[in-house]
Amino acid sequence: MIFKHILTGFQLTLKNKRVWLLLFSVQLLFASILTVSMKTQFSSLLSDNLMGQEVMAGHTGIAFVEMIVHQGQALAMQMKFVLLMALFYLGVTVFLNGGVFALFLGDAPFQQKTFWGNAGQYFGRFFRLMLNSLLYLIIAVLLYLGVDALLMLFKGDSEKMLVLLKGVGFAFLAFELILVQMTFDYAKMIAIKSDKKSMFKVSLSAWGFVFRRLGRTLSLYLLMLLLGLAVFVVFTGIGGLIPTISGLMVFLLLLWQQLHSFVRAGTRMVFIASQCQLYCSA
Amino acid sequence: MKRAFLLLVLLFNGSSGIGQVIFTEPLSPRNASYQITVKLDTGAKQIIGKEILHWKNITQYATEELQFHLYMNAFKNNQSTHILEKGGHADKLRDEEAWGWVDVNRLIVSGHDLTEQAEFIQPDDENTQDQSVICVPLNRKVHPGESIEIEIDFVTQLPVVYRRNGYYKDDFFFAAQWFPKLGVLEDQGWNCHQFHANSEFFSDYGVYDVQLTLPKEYVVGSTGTVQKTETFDSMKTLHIRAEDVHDFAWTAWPHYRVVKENYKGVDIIHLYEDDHVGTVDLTMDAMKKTLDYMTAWVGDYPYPAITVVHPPTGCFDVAGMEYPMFVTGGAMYAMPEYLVRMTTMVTVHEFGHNWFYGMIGSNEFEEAWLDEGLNSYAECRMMDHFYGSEASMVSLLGLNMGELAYQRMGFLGNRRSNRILRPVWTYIGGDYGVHSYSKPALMLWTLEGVVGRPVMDEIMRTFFQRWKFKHPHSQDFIDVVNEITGENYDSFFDQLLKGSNDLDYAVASVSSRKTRPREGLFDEAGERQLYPKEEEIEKDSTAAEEEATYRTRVRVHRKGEVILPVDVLLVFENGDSLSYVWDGEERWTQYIVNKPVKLDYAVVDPQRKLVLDAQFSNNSKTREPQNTAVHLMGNRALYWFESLLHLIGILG
Repeated sequence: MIFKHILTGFQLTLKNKRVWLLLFSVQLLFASILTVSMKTQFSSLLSDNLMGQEVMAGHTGIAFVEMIVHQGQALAMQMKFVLLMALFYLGVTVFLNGGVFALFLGDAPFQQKTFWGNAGQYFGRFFRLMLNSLLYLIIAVLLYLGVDALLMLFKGDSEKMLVLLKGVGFAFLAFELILVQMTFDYAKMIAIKSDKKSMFKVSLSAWGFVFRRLGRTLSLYLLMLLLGLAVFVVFTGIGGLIPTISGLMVFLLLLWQQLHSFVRAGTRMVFIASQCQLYCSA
Repeated sequence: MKRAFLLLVLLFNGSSGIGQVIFTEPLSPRNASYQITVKLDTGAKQIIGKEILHWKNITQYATEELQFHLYMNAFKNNQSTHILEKGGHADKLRDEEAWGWVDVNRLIVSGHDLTEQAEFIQPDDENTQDQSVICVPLNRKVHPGESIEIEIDFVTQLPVVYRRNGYYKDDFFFAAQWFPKLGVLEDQGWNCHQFHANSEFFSDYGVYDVQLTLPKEYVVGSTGTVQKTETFDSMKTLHIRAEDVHDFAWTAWPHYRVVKENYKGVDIIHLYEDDHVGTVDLTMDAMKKTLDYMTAWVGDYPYPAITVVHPPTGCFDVAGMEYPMFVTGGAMYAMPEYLVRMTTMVTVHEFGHNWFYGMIGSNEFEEAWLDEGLNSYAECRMMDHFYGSEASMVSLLGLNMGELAYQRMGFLGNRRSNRILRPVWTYIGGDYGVHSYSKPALMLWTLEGVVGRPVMDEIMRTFFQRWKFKHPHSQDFIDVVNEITGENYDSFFDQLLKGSNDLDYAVASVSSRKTRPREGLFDEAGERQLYPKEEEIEKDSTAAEEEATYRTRVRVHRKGEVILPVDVLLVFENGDSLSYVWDGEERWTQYIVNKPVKLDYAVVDPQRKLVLDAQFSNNSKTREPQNTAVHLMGNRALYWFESLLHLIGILG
């Protein structure tokens, strides 16, 4: 059943290539804006001297130190800009999700007008859901801190136990975050399907939905997570083999990395589509 | 012959009845030898016992007093100079049983009880609360060449583990600077500084015969070698001996695991806890490599053993420290050593100290660069030699750092205008680390660049061989440099060791402009020739290009105040190059060259000899933009930003 949902998710994604391209393009746009300002710093460090040759040869340490020491203030500014853009991107994602979730929950094929209409219609609700999810994330972190403190009681004087128990704690935190994120994906579906106005009630319904079908929802999530990891390993593994010794190879690496980002955006779409299939079949 | 000599030594050595002689001939003056008999009270966390010190005045002057370090009193209260220099508080030292101290209960010099005469002094500051040094007036002068015997009964209370000392929970003990220790009498008088927050130590060489009694389940690691172990009831007494050393430290813990291997005549003993079993091989490997390198580079390790301890969990305060024949490293469970070589580096560094600190007995209070700086330079040489200069320290997510980048990060990241050569307690804040470790290491690396590696190797070897088991000063190192190079390097050290100025050369600008052809009247071969203006001559463009010459101008700027000769290299588009040496005396210089090809790039210090240079990225300039690396880094940034946004998008 899970595999069937994933398969359908693949089919729906391939059927909606324009949405896939849209998600990838928006991400690329934001990343490009951030990269332009970052590239100014790379340019002032590398563009008129021989240090770039060292970087090309993989000897990045000296350039790294030069950047930290001589461009520290600019880097600090850059970090603030990244934070700002990340928040803006989060808002844009919330907006686009309205169109994406509604598309996969409905039977109608992709239409520009419907997609943007849904994006606008559900933005407010999805935004409130996101704020709701923050509450659960805070609870999750507090719970993790409690569990971590409890686990530390058993570490004794063993460094090995300390590392292992910290690992268990982090695994617990990761599980919590997955659960919250997954639940709020289903909350979005409920918000669309039920047309409820209270997002708090929607989130409670989502928790109920997830816990009644914990095996299936979690299996689907973990399978898709594995798929995402596999995509990451394959693309970064092969990307690491590209020798960046010339402009052409650097361009080739750029294409490869963008292909990875494109596939990653598609994987996210497959994920949403599969979850929508599971929700509709329940 | 050797046996007869050995017998004589046994008969006449002041510490004869205690342990077996290790070296048939003394390697050092041995003018401060200690027989210490102590018991570890594991319940009270105290070391109780007595020391008999045989001291010989090897200066040219008589003295009427003795000065002793009571280092452990630095941990007695929050008004000690040590704690005040740390900000006036020590979080760990709160409860009564957490503080550390040492009491001298009886002090007898050549049969006279001088306990009451002893008084605390503060030679470095006016902090009368500091009790880390005592002065003992004598009944009579001790003349040059004269020896005296000093008997001291003392009790040392170990603090909770803090600043390379102390106990942890019920059964871990680390004892460093734990007994009353004589200062060094120099021709200028006693050199016996207070225990400062950043300072290390300074002592005379001697023989240490230590009888340590403690519960028999304890595993002990220490300076020296265990000569004999006696057990009685639940206790044992270890007879430990070390010769030609200037300090004695030890640790005891029932749960230590021990690996021992004889490598080229030296017992390498490694003490570690169960959880650090994963770092045993790399630690032993680092020890062997260090032994091989330092022996070949500067001189033999003469001692029969070396003990390396990775302190257990909770005791990291005692990690990363050097003592003669005994060092502490530092390991962490599941530390990915192949990404960041921290355990290896610390092991290499600390064992390296047995040459530069252990055998070169410099004054760590006054000239810290002579041990930390020389040893950091040795660490650079070793790490890059063992693991490759490009990534000997870090290889993580595309960031590769060798020692050069690592040391420059330490130096440039914390750079302040200060000089290397000054007493350590006069540094401000973090200056001690920069000016004792990374800056001196880079200064010596710069010296290597200037004199060449073979000459530098000869300098290091000569300095070590000449000054081992003595107390050299900075000038002694400078003298060796001047002697081996046959040139005067005083200016180099005046600027970099004793001065605080920056070293920074830069290529300010480069250009290659086509020169105009001859125009006007020229007297050639007895005839006056007219060269018409270019626009009046009809030529095809290819021929014009072939005949063109370019006036290349390169301006080199000395941005810092340090003046050192520097190489300047001009490379042209056809691969031709021109090399110059600029003395750097003026603020700037320029090179003007007419050639039929354009300049490709210019670089000052092309071989990176002057690694103390404050900025490498301005050391070269290309005529055309070099954008490939910018694009590569831009690609990486774009990819990482996309990945970051992807994760953020999931939250939406």
